[in-house]
Amino acid sequence: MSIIRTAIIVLVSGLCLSSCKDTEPTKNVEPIVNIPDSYVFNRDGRSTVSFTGQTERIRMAEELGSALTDFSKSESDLLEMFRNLTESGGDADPFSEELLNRSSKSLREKIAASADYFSANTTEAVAIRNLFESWIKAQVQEVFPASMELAAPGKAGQIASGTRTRYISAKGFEYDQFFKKGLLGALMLDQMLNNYLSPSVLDADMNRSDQETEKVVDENAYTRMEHYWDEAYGYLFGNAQDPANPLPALGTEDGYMNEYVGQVDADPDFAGIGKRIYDAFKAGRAAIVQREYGYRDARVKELRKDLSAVMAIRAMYYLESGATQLENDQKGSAFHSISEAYGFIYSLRFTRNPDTAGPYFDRTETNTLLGTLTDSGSNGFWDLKPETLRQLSAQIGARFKIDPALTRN
Amino acid sequence: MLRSTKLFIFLCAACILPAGCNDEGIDNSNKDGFNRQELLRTWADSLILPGYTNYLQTLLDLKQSATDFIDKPDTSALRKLRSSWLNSYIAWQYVALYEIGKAESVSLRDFTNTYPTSPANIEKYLANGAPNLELPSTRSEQGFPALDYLINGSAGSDTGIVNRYISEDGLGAYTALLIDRLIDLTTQVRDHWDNGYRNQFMENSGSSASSSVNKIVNDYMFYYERSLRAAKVGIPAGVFSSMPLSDRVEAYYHPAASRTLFMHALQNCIYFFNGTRSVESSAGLAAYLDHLQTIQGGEQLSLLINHQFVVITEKALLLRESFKEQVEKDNQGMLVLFDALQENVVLLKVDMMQALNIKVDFVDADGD
Repeated sequence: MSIIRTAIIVLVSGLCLSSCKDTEPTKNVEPIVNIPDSYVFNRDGRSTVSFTGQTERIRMAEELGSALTDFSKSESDLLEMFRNLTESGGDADPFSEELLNRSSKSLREKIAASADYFSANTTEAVAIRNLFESWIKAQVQEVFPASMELAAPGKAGQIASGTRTRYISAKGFEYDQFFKKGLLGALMLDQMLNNYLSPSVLDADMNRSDQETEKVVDENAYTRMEHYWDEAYGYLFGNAQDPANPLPALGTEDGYMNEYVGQVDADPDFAGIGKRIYDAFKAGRAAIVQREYGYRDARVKELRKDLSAVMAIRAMYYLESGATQLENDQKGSAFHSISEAYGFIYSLRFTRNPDTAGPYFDRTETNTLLGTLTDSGSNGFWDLKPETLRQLSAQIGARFKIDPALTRN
Repeated sequence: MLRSTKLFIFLCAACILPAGCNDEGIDNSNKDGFNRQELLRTWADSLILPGYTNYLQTLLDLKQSATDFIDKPDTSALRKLRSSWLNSYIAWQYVALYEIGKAESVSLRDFTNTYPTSPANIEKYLANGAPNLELPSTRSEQGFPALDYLINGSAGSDTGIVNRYISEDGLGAYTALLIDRLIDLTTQVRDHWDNGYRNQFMENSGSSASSSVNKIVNDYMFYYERSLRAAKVGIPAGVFSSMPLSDRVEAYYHPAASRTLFMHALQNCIYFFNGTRSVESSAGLAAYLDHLQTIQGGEQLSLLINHQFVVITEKALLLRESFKEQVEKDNQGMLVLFDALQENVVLLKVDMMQALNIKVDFVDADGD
């Protein structure tokens, strides 16, 4: 008990030290940025905060996420939801929510689409988008037909996980979890950290001088730089009931970023991370209005660090849970945890290390971690050993400087 | 009042066992000096094994009543079937918490008593034939809740139910199938205890996370929290939802049985805590706590917990026999019972498990 507590204190003070260092401006004087109490910004009496595109994509992800285990759906139904287009590229209306059908946006177009990582890397970007489609297809082709079969090594079907029923492939994969947890990294995190929060995007074109002159975009009340920042914010709080004060309901607003930042925040070992992220968003946005770009970029570093850590902590949590469940012979629960872990590990490739400007685990490293999960034997997860999962967790923890023991509850 | 309720709690056939003085020659004392093997032996021989034997017998009686009714459906045979069903459902409450060994690996509890049941799916099976009942997705369409629907709720009156059994072959066939499955699962579990698992259970008397004491105390806690407190009381009372849900009570189609089933489940939780059906046991969790001289706020923890069991019993006896009616007419009483149950969650899960140095091995959420 006291050892754990000491570890927490050391960790917390470590975070504090490094973030204090980050926030130090290049000059020695901390700029005075007036930060509002809530995420509310106005110009001439009109709100300048807008992130409708993010709200729409979160809701598309919610609908598609549930449809992945709705056995009445066809492959083309699901692909239409992913692309928001018909197979021939025409306008599709695949959603139950009219707003989403009217939208010209899609999930697919923003996967692996950040300026920093993918603008000159379209080969990988297309491969990643196709991988998401391959999970949808595998779900329909392998798992759906076996929905009333009992799963066994080498045989797709259903398996009990506590009081729930899970639907897995012959190798024990829940493709819907690969898809949903992979989306957190490939879409939400990548857009936030490597696109909208990136100084290369925030300061693109004439954005700085437009900010000086408060030149707004078209008929809107916001400048381009303000809007970019809000679009990052929208991937976390875009589906919030009260996006200006979203902390009280953190974790309950969607099944994606909001849920998992909330989950990590709910672990006493990481409590406060939600508020830290919200505060950094709020402070950085205020800094844009007040044109304190050094201060803004220090907040970006904090956000990159904390939001990347959320992916790592959840990956480790599910690996540790999966190991314990395998030890207790709870295979269904274990495969569910490992499938979630798979998606979170996949997401590590989209993290952003503020010190290196790259991800914490690059593409090759991520693929190695994933290969360890899927290829330990010919029957995939059925052949996994608990110690393999614990080793992977330790490996991720070492890179992020997070003690695996802290992620276990 | 308090005294008579206490008597009620421990009122039972005098299964006086030679507790605490067996002489098997193996030293299985834990570091704390308490004989854990004796504790395990007491649980196995005075509660678990007799519990399964009795439950299995009631299932065989149930099968007989069902066969009689299906062969010649009439209202008197239906009443007899219903009474056998309730007898068996009561006997189940005395083994429901032992989700360990074979019971765990075959998911005995979930396949026996997942409610609410799904009438829509059952009706589909009656018309088109039943699926493989080993599929986890069919858990809520089998066991006692599904039988409850068939013999108590498949038509609006007893005559209506009888007529369905006469005119539709599907009902009799599905009823027999469900009972056979309960017998099959229970036989597997009972045979496993008889053929070596009893000794394995007793010999695993250390104090690691996978030791029998640690595992079964966790099973006890899980059962107390999820099945007794939440499923039987809290969920229907709306503790976990925005509105009370009277259709979530146990035995929904024969709701007059819901309090009875609760009382028996509670009774077994009390027996388990005290080790046997007799209060004079020297090998129960109560005795273990006394051995460790566990004091909470100046009081012996074992007495505090047993006292709270008395309070729970009193609160439950104030309620209507039908929890469905209780929820619909006076839900406050259900909430009072829930709060009383919750007080013992704190004493058992926090104070007792800490004193026994047993780590809770389950978490609150099931994940998504």
